[in-house]
Amino acid sequence: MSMTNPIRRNQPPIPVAQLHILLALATGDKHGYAIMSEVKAMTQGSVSMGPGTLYGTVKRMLGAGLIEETAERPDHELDDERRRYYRLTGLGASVLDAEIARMEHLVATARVKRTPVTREHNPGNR
Amino acid sequence: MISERVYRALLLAYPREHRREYGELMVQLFGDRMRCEGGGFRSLVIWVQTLTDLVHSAFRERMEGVEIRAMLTATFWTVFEPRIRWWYLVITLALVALIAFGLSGIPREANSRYEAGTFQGGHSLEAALAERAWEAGFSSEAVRQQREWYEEYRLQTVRLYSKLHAPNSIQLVAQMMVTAGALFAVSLGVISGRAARSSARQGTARDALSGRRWVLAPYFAVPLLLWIPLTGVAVVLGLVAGFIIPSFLSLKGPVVGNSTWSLALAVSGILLSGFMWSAIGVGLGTFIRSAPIAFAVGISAVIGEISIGALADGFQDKLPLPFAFPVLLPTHGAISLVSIDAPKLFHGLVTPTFGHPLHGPSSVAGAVLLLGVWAAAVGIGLRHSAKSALWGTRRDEGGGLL
Repeated sequence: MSMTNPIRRNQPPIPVAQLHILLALATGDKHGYAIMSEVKAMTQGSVSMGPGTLYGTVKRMLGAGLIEETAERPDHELDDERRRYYRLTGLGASVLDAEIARMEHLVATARVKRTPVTREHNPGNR
Repeated sequence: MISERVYRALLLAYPREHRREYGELMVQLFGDRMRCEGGGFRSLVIWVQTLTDLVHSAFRERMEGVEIRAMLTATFWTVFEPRIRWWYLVITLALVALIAFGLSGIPREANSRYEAGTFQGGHSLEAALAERAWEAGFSSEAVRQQREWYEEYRLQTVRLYSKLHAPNSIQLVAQMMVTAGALFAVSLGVISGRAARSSARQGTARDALSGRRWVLAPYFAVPLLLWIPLTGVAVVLGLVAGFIIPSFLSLKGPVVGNSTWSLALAVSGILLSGFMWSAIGVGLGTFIRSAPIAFAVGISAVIGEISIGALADGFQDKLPLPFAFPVLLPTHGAISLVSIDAPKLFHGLVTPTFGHPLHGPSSVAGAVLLLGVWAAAVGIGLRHSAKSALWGTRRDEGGGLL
């Protein structure tokens, strides 16, 4: 891994699908269906990644060096050899940390700035 | 599992390289989900979600890496990369002259009909007058009445001519322009096809276009963009000739253009037909890559337009309706096919009984056939041009598109 930090301070947010996959892989190596199930569980079923979105995102993340394939198998007897497992790279972990920090800052800012919304009845403004 | 087989077939929507790398994994994931979460109504939900995902993600995969500006620039230079040969210019000028000649002939033809006072079917006023006089018994009063009737009849003829023949003339203009445009589009198709092939061999366009098949879409626009201004030049020349020449010959002014509605239909038809013909021309051109064949197609369109149209008009009045329809169906269909007869189609839809009760149905039926051929020609042209022209070298390397 390079000694220089590739995460720039003003780096734009990563796509939501990539964030979900990074979070899913943060708890360990997973194959495609496991990633999909993890994302679904994390989001209480509100995000359901299809095969196209999942592997399209995986392809881009592999290209960006955020994740990598791993040859390690949790259990060779129970596992299907055709499956591919993915895990976070160092860069992926850094990007995830930076994204979480960015979101934390965003949420903190939002909590400070948020004012109670008063709904005034205005019949003329429908 | 049938679902997995169906999903595997649907993966054709993705680019080949993506399918090759992730296709099996996607099928496996889909199968896992169906086994673990499917069953009954839940399977239907999974299918709906998967299909939605497929449409969205397949489009994204095909779009990936394509920069619109680079694509358009490369397309432009791909089309114009070959040296402009002298016969390109000759053909273009010939087409412009053809359109101008056709337009200049319309007012003269209109004036001749105006002077003769004939209907479209060729029923002369003299014959009608003689028939009416015979019925009246040739008395002086009858002759006076006949003269009055003749003048009224002549006025009616002029009015009818203004209503019927002017739109017909405009349609004829439109058809001539469309046919000439077809020739031009087909020729441009050959040019673009050759340019694409040469560029693919040199590897210039291929890299710039990022190896995406759908980027052939601008090839549809380039001939159209060139065809419209050239057609505009021809229209101006033709109308100038049509108005000036008759005035030198002391003929009455042309009646073309007194129907705004028909003019709007004709213009719409020109634009639509131009686009369609451009698409077919480019598709065929990149597919066959043969100038003689491409020009044979265009010339056949002109000859077919004249001969089959005349044949249909000759038959329709002589046959009873039940027999006329099967005659008109293939002939009008053929007219539509050879001339991309959008003005006639629009006119048939708007006024189905115009001229002949079967004009509308037969034109619509012909148009259905026309649309099918359009789709087939464009599809075949695109597929083959993509496989054999732009990325033929990539296919040799084991890549390919489909």
